[in-house]
Amino acid sequence: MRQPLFIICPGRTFSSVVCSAIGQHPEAYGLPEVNLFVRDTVGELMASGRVGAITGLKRTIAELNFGAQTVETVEAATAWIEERGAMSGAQMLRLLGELSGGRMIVDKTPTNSQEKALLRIAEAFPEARFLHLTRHPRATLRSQYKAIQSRRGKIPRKMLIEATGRWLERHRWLVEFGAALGPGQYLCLHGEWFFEDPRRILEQVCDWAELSRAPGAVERMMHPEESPYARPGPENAPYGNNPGFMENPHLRIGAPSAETLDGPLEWLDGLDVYFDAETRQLAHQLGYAG
Amino acid sequence: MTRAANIRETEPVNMESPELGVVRALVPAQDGCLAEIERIGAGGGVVELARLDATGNARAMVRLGDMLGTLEQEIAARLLSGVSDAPDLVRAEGAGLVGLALSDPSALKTLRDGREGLFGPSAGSGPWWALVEHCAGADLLHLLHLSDGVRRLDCGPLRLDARRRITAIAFFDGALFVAVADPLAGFDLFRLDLAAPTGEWVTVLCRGAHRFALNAAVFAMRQTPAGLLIGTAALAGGVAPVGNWGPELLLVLPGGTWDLVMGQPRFTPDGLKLPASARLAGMDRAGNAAIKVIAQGLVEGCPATVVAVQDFDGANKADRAEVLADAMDYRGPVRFYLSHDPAEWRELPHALPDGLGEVTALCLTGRGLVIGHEALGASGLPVSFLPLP
Repeated sequence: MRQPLFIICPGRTFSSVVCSAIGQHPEAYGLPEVNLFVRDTVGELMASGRVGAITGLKRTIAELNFGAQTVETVEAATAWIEERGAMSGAQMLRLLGELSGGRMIVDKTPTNSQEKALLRIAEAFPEARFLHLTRHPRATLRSQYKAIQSRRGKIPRKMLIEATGRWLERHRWLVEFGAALGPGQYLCLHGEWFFEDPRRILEQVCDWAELSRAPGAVERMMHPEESPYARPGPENAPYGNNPGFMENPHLRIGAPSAETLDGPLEWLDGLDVYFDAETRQLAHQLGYAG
Repeated sequence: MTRAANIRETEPVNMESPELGVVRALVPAQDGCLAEIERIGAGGGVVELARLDATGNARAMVRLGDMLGTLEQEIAARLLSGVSDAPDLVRAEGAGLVGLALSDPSALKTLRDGREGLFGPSAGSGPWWALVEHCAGADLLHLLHLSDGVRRLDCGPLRLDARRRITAIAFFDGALFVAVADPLAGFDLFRLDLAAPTGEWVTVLCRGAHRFALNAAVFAMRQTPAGLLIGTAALAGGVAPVGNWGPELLLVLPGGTWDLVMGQPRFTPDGLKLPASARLAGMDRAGNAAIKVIAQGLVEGCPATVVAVQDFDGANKADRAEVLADAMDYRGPVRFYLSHDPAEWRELPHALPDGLGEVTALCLTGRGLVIGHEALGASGLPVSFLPLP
């Protein structure tokens, strides 16, 4: 089996489109959010009761093992997964690799970036590659705020302020994790660069991940909308990827709007909250000087 | 076995209340090297030139204050760091220095106004010299041609200000290269074609060559057979750093492309960069260190490069915009690495004390590595020696 590629980042960091793009390479297979490393076994994951957490895995099995994503194949996939409930997440990921025909699995599940999950991954796949995606802290937190607001409506003040620390907390952990890996196992990708010149970045990803640059391969990567997970699944498994991406999965090439580290966080209107020194330093370290 | 070099055949310079001796430059000369030493005491400073043998022992020494006026002596001393390429500036006879012959010292006066400066090394520069004036608002840069005089360069495109300072200059590939530190965005490297010095500055590297603040500054640049070798520093600052803050080695090739010799693998707008040496930043050690000195010479008849990687040993500035001042505090434990090929580096074992002080200059001789540093006290020659191989 080829070593998998894990895309690690906080939520709202372009991971869906980047994963789908890389996964379109003929030698790779981009997964939706399969959440295989948040529990010890697949059975525990299925029993977690979180519909959103298991939808991606059901869709993947439906696609890979039953040839399509329909209500019927998702039902069959659910039964297939339940029969293998004793498997660990790593064992299931290897099985997905086999079902994909031995291609390089690309997993962007956001929960993989949690400390416990990432340590599980590193233990199970010590030779895996890790792509650390970054995005400007202001844009990330603003986007996270909007996502939370759309789900919950009014957000308590305390929760709002705590949420501002998430960018720092998650990236700091990912940087520390990456520093402990071997040469070439961990690379950081300035997410904004990807949109400025995706072809150039995808060519570099091919070189790094030892994927062919054969004619047509990179061109295929320029079409994340062709991923089988770039649109909602059937009614019994509609999720499994970022909803915004599934609404508009085409690459939108161009530099994202300029952001600044200065000034109050505008979505926290009236709270007068700014980025602290630690966030600013890590932002400078990751390429966000402004 | 490492040892501190001893003064022989000459006595230490007699100064009142001397406090600190710092080697400002070491350049190959005959079978040893010339050292420019600045001695700073309560009553001011003087500059000495010392001729060292191949093992770093002083064979002769001259105090420039005896020969030139205050202004010229320091300028002359720095010019002398290029003695091997400008023999008209100094004439060595036997073991001693017998004369200094600046063709037009008065021209040099326009370069300086009592402020600290930084001369470009002469190796490969032919008749060209460069000087940085560190002014309160923004640095000034002067270009000197030994026969054509001095000209102040338009540095507008370098976007110099109190935060963006010039930290290194070098001559390479027929051009002047100027490194500008930027603690927030990472260093930039600019090039000015010497065939058209009134022409445009060209950006060669930017944003810490896309490692951003982790390559805040360049303190060392040296022409090598492979290209212009560049040593960086992160200037970590007062906020607890995470990840690998070790320095990198970059190689600028003739024509302006670049390679990563030692450092962090990364995607860049210039393509995927993987370290040719397979060594991660800091020569595989993650701490806050800097490469401030690079030497080029011969070891057993083969071209060789030596870099010094020295740890930070000070109190960081809390404000990241002010961390350039931390550059003074990379005086912790030092490691030396030798290479005959950018892809292969080996650490040179040594027994130098951790409290050696800042390593300021290196010179490869036929016998080993002469190490210039700083040292307290009047009598000491701030030079150590590391035999090779």
